[in-house]
Amino acid sequence: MSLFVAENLFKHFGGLVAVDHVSLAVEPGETHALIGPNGAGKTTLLNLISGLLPLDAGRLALDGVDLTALPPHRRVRHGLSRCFQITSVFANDPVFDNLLLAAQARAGSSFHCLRRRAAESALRDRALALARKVGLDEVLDRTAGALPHGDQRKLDVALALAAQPKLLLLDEPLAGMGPEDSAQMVALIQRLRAETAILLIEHDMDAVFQLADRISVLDYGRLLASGDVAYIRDHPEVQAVYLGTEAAA
Amino acid sequence: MTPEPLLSCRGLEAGYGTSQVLFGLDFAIHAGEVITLLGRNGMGKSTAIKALIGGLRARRGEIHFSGHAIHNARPDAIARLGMAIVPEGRQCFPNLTVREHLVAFAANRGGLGEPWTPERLYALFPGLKARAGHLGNQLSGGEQQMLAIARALSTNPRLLILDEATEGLAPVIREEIWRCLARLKAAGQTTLVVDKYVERLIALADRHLILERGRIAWSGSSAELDADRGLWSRYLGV
Repeated sequence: MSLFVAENLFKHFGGLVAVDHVSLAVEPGETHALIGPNGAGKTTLLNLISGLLPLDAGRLALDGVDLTALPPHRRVRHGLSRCFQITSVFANDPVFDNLLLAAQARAGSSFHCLRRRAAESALRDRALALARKVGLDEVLDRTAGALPHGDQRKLDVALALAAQPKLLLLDEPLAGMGPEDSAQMVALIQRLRAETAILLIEHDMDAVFQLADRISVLDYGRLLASGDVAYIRDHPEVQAVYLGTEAAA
Repeated sequence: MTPEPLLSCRGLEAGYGTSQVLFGLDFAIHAGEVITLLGRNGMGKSTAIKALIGGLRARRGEIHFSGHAIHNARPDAIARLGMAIVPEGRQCFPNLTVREHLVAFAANRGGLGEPWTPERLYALFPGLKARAGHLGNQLSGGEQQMLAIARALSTNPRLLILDEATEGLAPVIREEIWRCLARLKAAGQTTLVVDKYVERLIALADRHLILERGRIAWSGSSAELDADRGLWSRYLGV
């Protein structure tokens, strides 16, 4: 049984059909890439899946739980986490506090006014483990907003991981990165395969071809093709509307 | 005798608050050249561009452009001298149509014999013609990028600056941008490019400047950069 199923998702804005009866599935442990031209509806689809936009029609299920009518925070509790295209960290707080807050949100513990938040050792351990996982354990005291862009993206991923997702949605995690940061992020995503399935939007085709078990291609809101790397790379319509000749080579 | 460069920087220093980012940049760009500014994230590329376009005041050093000292000039004055930027993030106006973007800033600042007009720009980017009546925020990322380039070209600049012009774009759109830049080069457009696709930049540009911690660590031709992969790994992380 698929871990995640989206069936016939439909969304329009006035006369513009942004997502046109798209169905896709993500298997346990799978890294599934979603590619397509700018404006094809990829981010809208992620907004529908994460609950930031209401569906006009369709159904969503994760690990047997119907998510369709749930608000975003309930979807997170059921195992759906997301990183946005724009890095979303608590820029004025230290890295460790960012992680501690995320760990606390996952643990569901409330703010204790008579106890120091940082004294909760299980949460501290969890925060430290997250930092180690993404390679930020050397910069725990640094203000998040002062980190280099690549490290901020890693922190963003760590915040999403704090919710212990079954499915992690990554929207252009390599955006704005140079080759070195990109390589580190690709390695991080590869490591995450062991703990979560991933639905990934990315325009860096070298990364997509390295990471994806399966690729789905959107064009004008419709699913144009879905298959493994070799199938998509050689797909004439995908080459025409998206890959061009360079990325397909 | 070597002609005067179109743009020259001498000892350029700039930064933000107590943080100094650029430490004495010296370089020149001659008319008709395509130059790239390379380097890892955080090495000063965007700061250097900000200083060139007047968005950040130089703390020390001089910048001369088209015969004028511009290191103390305002951005609008620099733009009127013929410098145009395609900014990171495109920055199209959400409430202007495509056509309005192409006429609102139109001028022949470079004094071109055959200046860019909306019709010539539509020929360069046919996708924009079909969207002429659409607002900036109704365009896809790729269309916005083409519009940002077309908007810069509508001023017929002496120097065109592109800051991460292929970022976040589908491969097929990136190819269109590279083809466009090659055509502009063939037409003699002087261009300064910041981008991360080193192989494409080698194919496009005449010379390259590599920034490392706010200093020019290396400069050379495309052939030299292509031949020395050690530079790629040392300075570019490739």
